[in-house]
Amino acid sequence: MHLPRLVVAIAAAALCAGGAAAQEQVETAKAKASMEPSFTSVTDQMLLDARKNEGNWVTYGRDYWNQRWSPLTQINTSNVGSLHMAWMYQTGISRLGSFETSPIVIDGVMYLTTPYNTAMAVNSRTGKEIWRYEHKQSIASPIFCCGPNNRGVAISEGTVFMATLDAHLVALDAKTGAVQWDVQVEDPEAGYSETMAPLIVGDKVIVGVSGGEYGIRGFVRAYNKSNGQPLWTAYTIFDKGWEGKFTTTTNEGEDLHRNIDAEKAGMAQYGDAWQRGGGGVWMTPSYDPTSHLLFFAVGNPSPDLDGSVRPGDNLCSDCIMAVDANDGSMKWYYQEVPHDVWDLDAVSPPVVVKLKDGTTAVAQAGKTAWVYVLNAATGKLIRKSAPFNRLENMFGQPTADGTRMLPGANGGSEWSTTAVNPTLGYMYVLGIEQPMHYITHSAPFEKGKLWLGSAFKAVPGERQYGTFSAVNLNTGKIAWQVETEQPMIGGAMATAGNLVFVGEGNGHFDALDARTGKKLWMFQAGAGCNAPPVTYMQDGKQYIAVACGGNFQMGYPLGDAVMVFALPGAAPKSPK
Amino acid sequence: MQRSVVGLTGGLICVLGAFAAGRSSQDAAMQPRHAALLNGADWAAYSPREKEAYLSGFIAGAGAEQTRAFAALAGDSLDSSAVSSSAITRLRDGKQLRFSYAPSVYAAQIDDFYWWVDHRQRPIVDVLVTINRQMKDR
Repeated sequence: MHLPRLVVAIAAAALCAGGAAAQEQVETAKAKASMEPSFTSVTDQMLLDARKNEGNWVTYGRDYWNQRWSPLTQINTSNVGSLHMAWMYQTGISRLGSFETSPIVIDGVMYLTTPYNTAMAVNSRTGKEIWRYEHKQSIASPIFCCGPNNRGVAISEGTVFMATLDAHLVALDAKTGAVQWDVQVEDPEAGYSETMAPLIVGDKVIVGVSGGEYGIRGFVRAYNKSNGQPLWTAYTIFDKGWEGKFTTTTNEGEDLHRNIDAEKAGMAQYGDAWQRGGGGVWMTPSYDPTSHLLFFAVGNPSPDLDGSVRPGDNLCSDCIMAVDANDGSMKWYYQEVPHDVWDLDAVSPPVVVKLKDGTTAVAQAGKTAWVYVLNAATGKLIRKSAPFNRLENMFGQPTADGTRMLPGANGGSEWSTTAVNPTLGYMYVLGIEQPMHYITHSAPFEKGKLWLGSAFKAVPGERQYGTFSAVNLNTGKIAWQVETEQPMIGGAMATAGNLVFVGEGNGHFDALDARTGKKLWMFQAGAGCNAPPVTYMQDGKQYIAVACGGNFQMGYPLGDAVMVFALPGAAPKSPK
Repeated sequence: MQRSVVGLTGGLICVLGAFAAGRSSQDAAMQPRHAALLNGADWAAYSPREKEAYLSGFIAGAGAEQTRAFAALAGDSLDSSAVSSSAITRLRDGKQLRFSYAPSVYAAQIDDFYWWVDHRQRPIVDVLVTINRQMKDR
């Protein structure tokens, strides 16, 4: 009797062990499955609801309003000090530039781009690469201003869209990176290029062009996202009335020191200058689904610094423009600097905000170092903020010895994205304190001329630094400001955890208290963190991601790494 | 290769000479000058349309001369009347044009260059060749 009982016992034990092993296999398979990306198809509704979607970052500015504000709170002021690196992805591409990509993250997949237009998908939990697409430039040497860069992709349904340095718009299969279609937006040999992340609105994919330094005529264009057919074009440079009213001051009354008589006399000769009038659109528009309006910033007139051959206000360079997303028709514009000869144009992407009194407004941080707050329905100025950088000899004329000017030709706020904390009503703005001499052409040329047309030179020996400011959009006052070692360029991201994240050229990636500006955490990335950070939630865990690959134009150390941070330990239980 | 460069330069000078002669005939006060000598002072006096005309002529001439040089390398001999626009278009489509950018692109770069008065003695042709090389080397 003992023997059979022993056999039964052994058999039972074996069965249990086998069962446990099988159970373990099932668990392993489940865990593995949860590590696999799901390639969620991004619907129009998901884009419209992006603000409510806690886990994903589905469009360039996180939501259509471009606020770069996340409702996630797992990482907050009380625990951000223990943030650590979860994983790092290095592109391995040796040809570096300004690494300004703003990742898109959807249910386990992160989509990235590099300065020379390689797009890639990586597992957003592990950093493992899924696919990559290397765009072959259609000409050997595309012409673009200010260093090679790309700011990211747009995604809709199963397609990823990337605009390229050679002025193409490419549609890729989100699962494989295979090309679905590829169209030339404009002729790259005529100076057109693309650096912005496209925007999806309904059946359209929307892009603007850069090239205001090469005599282009700027525009924003909508394409059918299914096949790349152009649907409408909104020119930023007006063919009729580009001379405007020959205003002697800005809209807010600052003297522009213009010689109106000379400009009017030049109209006969230069009346057609609009044809090469510049007005690039560098950055992704914001969009208000209620009014169906797109809002975008328009760059400098062309030529950049020589106003004598382009008389008039040069509408609509240096403008914030609103166009109907359905047909591209213009609704309003607000020109920040008429007849700009200082390169103080509008480049930082506009943001839609709801003010305390209920007004829907568009806010934009100018290279002029003011934040402009405009009524989103009419374009009328509601307020202009206090300057977030020093102002000195604004709109002065050049002299042989050089007129010392602040902001210099880089701003103010350059291409940097702003972020908004809607609860506090603060906009977070990156600023550049870079005094420059504005000199006449009689000064001798020196090597190392600036990219913007040679007439501005940094003041030798003078300290350059950066600012990071919280601007109260309801009052226009600076709520707080911190100084940084170097001029700031890149972008900011705010969260409901009362945090704001921003990177610096010296490799610092910082988390600050959104209410006070107190620095709570910092990581040294080894290369400039000059891209806008993003955040997302996966498997109950919040991650912060940022590309740290430097900035070409500012000379910040280059690199190729995307760094992702999280709190230590397993994801906390969901408080259901 | 050396041969094609020499040919190219000769062709450019023909085109520029024609441009300069045309301009000079409009302005009796101006002495006709060899196209290769036109410099920043001349450039500064041109209107945007004249700059575009100058550069369009330069680019077309360069394309024609390049076509001839390529034909010569292939053992064919083309006189100027045999250079067709379709041949130049083929070069352009094949991304082989030496001066491949639009006049507006070159104009913007030359404007920048001549902003500095101490650059103005430098012939436009030299500046164009230098700028083109810089853009291609980016």
